[in-house]
Formats: sequence, structure tokens, C-alpha cells
Amino acid sequence: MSLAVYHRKPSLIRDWFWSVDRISVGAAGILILIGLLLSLAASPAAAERRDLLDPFYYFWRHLAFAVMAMGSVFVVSLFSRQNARRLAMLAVISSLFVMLYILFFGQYSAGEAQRWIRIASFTLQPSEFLKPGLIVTFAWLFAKQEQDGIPGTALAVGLYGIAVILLILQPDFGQTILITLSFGAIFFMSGMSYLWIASFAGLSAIGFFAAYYSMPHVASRINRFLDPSSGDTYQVDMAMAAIQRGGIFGRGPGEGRVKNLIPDAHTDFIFSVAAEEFGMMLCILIILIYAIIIIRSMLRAQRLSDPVSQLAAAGLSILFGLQAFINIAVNLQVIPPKGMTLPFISSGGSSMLATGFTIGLLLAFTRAQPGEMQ
Amino acid sequence: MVSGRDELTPLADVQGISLSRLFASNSNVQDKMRKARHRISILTLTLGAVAIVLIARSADLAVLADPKSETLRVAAKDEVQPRARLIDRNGALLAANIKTWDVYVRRVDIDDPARLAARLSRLDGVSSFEVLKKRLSGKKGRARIARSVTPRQRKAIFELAEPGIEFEEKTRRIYPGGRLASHLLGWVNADGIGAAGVESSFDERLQQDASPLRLSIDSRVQFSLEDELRKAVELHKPIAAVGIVTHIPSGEILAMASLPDFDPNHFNTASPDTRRNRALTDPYELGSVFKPLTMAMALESGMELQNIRIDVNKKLIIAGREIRDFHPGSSPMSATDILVHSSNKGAARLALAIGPQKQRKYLQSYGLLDPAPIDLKGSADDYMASSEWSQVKTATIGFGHGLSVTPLSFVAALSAVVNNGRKNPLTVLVQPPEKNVHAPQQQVVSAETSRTVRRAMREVVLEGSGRRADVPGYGVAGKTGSAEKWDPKISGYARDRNVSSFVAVFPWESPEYMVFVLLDEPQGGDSTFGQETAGWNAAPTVHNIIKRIGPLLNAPYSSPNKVPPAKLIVRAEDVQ
Repeated sequence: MSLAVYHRKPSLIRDWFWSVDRISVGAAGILILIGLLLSLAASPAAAERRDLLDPFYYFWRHLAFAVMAMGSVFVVSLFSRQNARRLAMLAVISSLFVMLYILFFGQYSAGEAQRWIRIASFTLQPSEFLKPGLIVTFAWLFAKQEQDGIPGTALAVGLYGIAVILLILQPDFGQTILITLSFGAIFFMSGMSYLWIASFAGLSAIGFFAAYYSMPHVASRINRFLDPSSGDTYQVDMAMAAIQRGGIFGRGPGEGRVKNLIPDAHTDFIFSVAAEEFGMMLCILIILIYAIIIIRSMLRAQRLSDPVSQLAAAGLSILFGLQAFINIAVNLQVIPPKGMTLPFISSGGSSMLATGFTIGLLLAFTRAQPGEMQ
Repeated sequence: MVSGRDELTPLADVQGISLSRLFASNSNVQDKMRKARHRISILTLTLGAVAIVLIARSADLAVLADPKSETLRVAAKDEVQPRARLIDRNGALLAANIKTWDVYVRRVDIDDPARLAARLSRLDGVSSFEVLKKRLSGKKGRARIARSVTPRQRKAIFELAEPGIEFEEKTRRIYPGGRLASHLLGWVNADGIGAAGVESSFDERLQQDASPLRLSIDSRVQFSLEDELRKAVELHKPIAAVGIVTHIPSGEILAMASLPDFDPNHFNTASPDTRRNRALTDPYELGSVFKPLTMAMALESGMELQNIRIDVNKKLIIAGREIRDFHPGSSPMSATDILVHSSNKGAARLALAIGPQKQRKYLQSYGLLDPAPIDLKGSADDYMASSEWSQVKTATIGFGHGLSVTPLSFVAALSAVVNNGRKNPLTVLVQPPEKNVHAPQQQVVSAETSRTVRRAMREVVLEGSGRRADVPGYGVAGKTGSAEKWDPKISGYARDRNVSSFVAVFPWESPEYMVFVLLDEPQGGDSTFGQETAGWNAAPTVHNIIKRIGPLLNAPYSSPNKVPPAKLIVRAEDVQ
């Protein structure tokens, strides 16, 4: 029998299947299915707002991106660790380049912020792809800090600074916070002394207050959250009311109202749509699935012996988890609105593809390798 | 423990590197890995804790939500809910939203336009064959084949099983009564916003609160009023007619009609002239129906009318124009005689005795110088022919000329006078029974004055120009008004065109109901022996209305014990 195994021809899919973290792959698949299910509910309302003839326009789009995302999860997770790292660095360089281009030549904008670039009929948000790339690059730089004569920490801090400046210029406060928190987490995990960590936390706090005082939309969002009577809290109020209306078992598929009332129902507030139509049960299921992916990946990362892979995998899990939990926390009115999507569930091509890319990288780093796991 | 990678490193590769350095580096890496694993554990636990907090918060919101919470209430209010229905005081449906469909065919799915047009045109509610064939023949887009179809019509279209048919849901406001109370109800425009009548005046309420809005009108009374008005229009051929029935103690409008009228289900094809609520928007010089007001003013100004007799044979020439009486009576006249015989000269002399200042003050307090006190939007201002308040004006206003008022404004003013002087705003919403007596009420005349005026109005019906309005048993009091219309072409009053009106109050002892009818330019006919005056057209119309609505309203009978003594001619029917 052992001979039979030995003589079996190497198969890409089989090797991938047996080496990859199957539970995380399955969990991601369930999230994507939930996203499609909710898109069926939220799409007609969004299409009507845009006067689109096909009520399922957003669903078909969502489906197309979901398929592409699954494809990218698979393809990226096939990469060797070294190539995954190189791919991530390539993503950093190209996203930074595109962000610079938008900054100087960008015309396309949604809302007030210049975050998107138009490619053919799609708009792409480069900062979505920057995030996972940065995490892997940070991990590599921190892990290599004293080896091969590379001043890792200094480079990482510099890169972080450039990314944050570009994000603030857009301005994109949500992504800035997300990148800062993830950077802090890698900084922490890389074994930095608590003095350094405290300094970083202090600097972040200063940065936060600077943003509060210099960026009016940030100040207004936070003020509205702290004192709802100070301004328009329509979206979050409706979102929370939807969750309350949903109760334990929800109002039933298609019976939700919030999707007609909130402009961002199919993106940032999809969790509320889920809560209203399928109730607390689906909300808890969604949170648990995210928790499963995060905790499993963190534990797998913990057992890796290669410091770069370990930091990269843990950092990517944290990035993915933070984005999901921040979005959910906004929907549950635990924290002020950020403008962040729910990974794999929200409608939106950039977010969907970038999430696929993130999980692909994560799986590439946590894939079992002979003799690797301890 | 040594890591796998180090185990696999060929010894040759580490030659040249001092063993001590290798071990130092290795133990450093080991140390760092241990630290990293420890810190990963910390972060994993933190994220797990966040997940637990979020689950707890979800459960908290979903299970422990206070159903009466502010946000929930706001969200519920923002639901796209059907506009509230309108119902009458007895709960009868007056207006409601229903679901209908506009039907389209996608042209790319049509292979034979003529065949499809033939099949579709056989159905009810679909355009004709020619129209359909033309519409279906295009290449692109979609063709509308029917508008606002009912579920039954929709089913019939479904059953054709033709491809490419699309239904677009539309809500439509329907008025089951058709023309019934059309002016009072108004209509809703294509954007779902109330554009006239109650629909406009209570638009916000109807949009935000789905519970039906209960109006004060009584469909049965409304129907009777409209029916009798229509008969009067047929008989007397006026260019327009107005009818109002109110409940005096509460100010509730029980019925209100304006002819010509329209069907609010098809408001967009109705001419603006028919959509105008004349009771609210058209000021008229109402003429002699003002005389009870003049009488009340005279009493209030302290004149002892029971002792005053006025010579009405003497010529009365004001500003070069002689004021005449339609119905000459024996002179001298008492104030009641002036009402009974509708003497213009007498009323003018009373008004002159009251004086311009006081008259103006009283008119103001009755509300006749302001828009009608009613909760409907669009009430016209009452206005005076000239702003100067001269002797002439004072005299002519005494018998209802020189001051144009809307029918509703007049009804509100006379209601105050006959309601023991208590002034109530008019309302189209049903009032709770305990609020029959609005508070605070303005006392515009004394109860004594009110009773005297009512008694005189009762005399008008019993033996004066209002005889044809009487309905035995109900104790009807009233006053006719036949006012020549101002003709701007001749800058004078046209002899051959008048506004004929009658106002009735019953029972006169303790007034419950007011009925007002106005016919604009009625024609004389056989039934009126050629007469165009109110006694011959408006009064009998009011009679017919009271005869129909009295039993419906369960109106109290006039008590025979309370009939006015002395001059009153008590007829057998009154003493039942």
C-alpha cells in the first residue's frame, strides 16, 4: 500500500487538497455562498436605486466576482511560500504605483474620496490589494530585520508611512486604521519589546487625533457616533433597527426592509440585511465562520517554523479578521462607521477579489509542507 | 528542540561558520519563535474575545430589543407603507391604495406583432388592436400594452402565455365613491403626493401613519346632499351649486358638495373648473342670508329691537342709488319683520344705526374678514369691493352686499351666532363626542342674542320667504338670500343674474345642524313660476335635503313646548 502511494503520479489538485487548510477553504466557501444568497435579496433594491432594467444585475456581478475570487484563492494558494511572498511584494509595488497615479491623474471618484481606478468597465480600488501585500512584506521585513544586513524594521516603518500617507491623501480613514492595526499586530508578534510597542501605540493615538482634527469627515463620523443627535446617523440607525427587527429567526428571505432604505445595503451594511431577513442565527453563524478561519489560521501559523511565513500567515489572518469584525461592529453600532466591506460577503469587485487574494496568500503560507509542522 | 530545516542543512554548508555563531543564532531564533508563538496566542485570544463580544451584541440587539425603541419606531415609520385610507365617520371607505400593474412587452421577444396584438386586444383593459399593432411593431425596448390593470386582468394576460410580457407594479389611489365628496377628498398626484382637499391638507399624516383617517363626513348625508343638489341643478339650471351640512356644536362638516364636480379616480382628465371646491375657494356676495348677522350686531350693540319699529316705506337712497325691497311689507317693521320680509331697506337702516366701526368689529369677530376657519388648505380670503369702510358699505353689508365671503366662511360665522354665540372652527375630521364643545371657545354674541336671532329665523321659515324650506317636526329656522351679481362689464349689479342661497338651522331651539345651499345664476322655470329667488329654488332644495338627512342623522324633533309664542303660526304637523 505504501508502494501504491509512492507510485501515484503527482497531481496538482490532489496535492493541493491534502496540503491546504481544508476547513478554512470550506469556511470561505460558505461565506461566499452566504454572500450570494444575500445578494439575491439585496440586488433588486440596489438595481432599482440605479434605475437598472435587470433587477439581478448586482447578483450576476456578485456571482462573477465570487467565481473569480474562488479562482484566485485556489491559484494563489498553489504558490510556494517564496513565490507567494514575491507576488505580495508585486501587489504592493503595483498598488502603490496605481494609487500615486490616481492621486495625480485620477478623475474617477465615488463620494468624495479618490480611491478607484477605472479599468474597462470595472473600477478597481488598489488599496484593497495593497493591504495583503503590505502584510506579507512587513512580515518579511520584520523577520529579516537582523539577517543579511537588511534594516528590516526601518524599511517596514518607512513602507508603512508611505502607504498611510497615500491612504490619508485619498482620504481613506477606514483602510488607514486597518493597516495601522495590522502593522501593529505584526510589530507585536515579531517580538518587539513592549517599549517599542507602547511607542507605536502612542504614535498611532497621536495620528488618530491628528486625523480627527484635520479631516472633517472623520471628526463628523466620530461625533455622530458619540452623540447621535449631532448629525445624520440615518444609515447606522436603519441598520441597527433592521437587526432588531430581524430578531432571532429573521423576517424571512426577501422580507427585509433595510435594503430599500440604506444606500450601502449591498456593501457596507450587508450584515444588517442578513440580520433582518435571516435573524440572529445567521449573524452568529457568520461571526463563527470568521472566527473559525481566523483562529485556525492563527494556530496553524503558530506551528510554522519559518518566521517569515509565520508572521505573514498570522498577519493575514488578523487583517482578514479585523476587517470582518470592524464591519460587523459598525453594523452592530459598537464602533463608528468606517466604510469597510464584509470580506467575501459584501458586493463589490475589488473587495471580493482582494479577499480572494488575501485568503489565497494565507493558505499558501499555512499549507502543510513535509517536515514543516512542529 | 532542533527545527527540521536545521536538521536537513548539510554539514558542508555550515563549514566556515563557527559553530558557536551557529548555535548563538539558532538559540536567538528559537527564542524569538517562542516569543512570537506566545504573542500569536495573545492575539488569537483577543480576536476570539472580539468574536464573543460581537455574538453577544447580536443576541442583545435581536432578543432584548425594546419593541418600542426610538430607532425601531423611526425605521417602522420609514417603511414604504401604503398611504392611509380615508373613511367617513361611520367607517365607510372613501379612499384607499390598491395594487395595479402596468403591462409591457419586450419587443425582442415578439415574432409576429399582428398576431400578438390580435390576441391581446381581445382582453379587457388592453389598448385596441390598431394601437397595439403599432406599438408592438418597434424593434427595441418594450411597448406598454395596458395601464393599471386589475389582478383579474393580469391573470387573463398571464394565461395568454406569451413570452416577454412584463408587469410593473403600481400603487393607485382609488375613490370607491367616484364623485362622492370629490372636492372634499381631493386627489393624489402621480408622485403620490396629495394635491387637493383632504389628501393635500393631511398629506403628511396620510403618508406617515397608516391607520385610516376618519373624516367627519357621513357618506349617506353626503350622498343625499349631492343628489338633491343635482336635482336642483337640473331643475333650476344654475352655472354652479354649493351645499354644506355641518354639525353646529362640534364644527364638523357632515357633507360638502360643489357642482360641477369631478371623479377623483380620473382627476387628470377633469377640467380645472370642475375640480374647484367652490365652498372653499369662491367668495360670493351672499345677500340677504347676511341679515341674521346684522340683526345679531344690532342686538349686541345694545339696540332694544323689541321696541324699535323701522319705517321701510321711506325711500332710502345711498350714494345716488335707491335701495329697494323685493317683498314689500307693512310698515313700520320690527327687526323680525325685516328678516321675515327680507327688507333691504330695513337691514340697511339697522346697519347704519350700528355704525361702520362696530360693524367692522363684529364682522371681524365672526371671522368674516378672514379665510374660512377650517382645516382644509386653500381657503380664499373674504374680501371687500373697496377698502374704504364708508356709510354706503355699512348699509349694503347690512343686507349682504359689498362683502364677498366664501360659503364656508359664512357658515362658520352664522354657526357662531346661532350656537349661543360660541365660535367653533370648522373641521373635516371626526371629533370625539366629549369635544363637542371645543375649548377655549370664543363668545361672539350673547346666548340671548343668539336665541332672538334663531327665533326670527324660525319666523322666516314659518311665515316668511323661507316657507318652502320647512320640514315639519324638525323646527327648521332659516334665511333666504337672493343677491344680484356684480357685473364688471356694466359696473353695476345685473338684474337678471343672481346668487340664490338658503341657510337652515335645526332644531331652532337648540341648534344641531346647519344646511347651506347656494345656486349660482338659477333660471326661472315652470316649477318656480318663473321666479329666480331663493325662496323658490334654494329653500325647497334645503327642504328636500333636511327631509332626507333628518331621519339619517336621528335629528332631534323640535319640542312643541318650546315653540315661540305670540306671532308664531303653529301648524298641525309641528305638534306631533
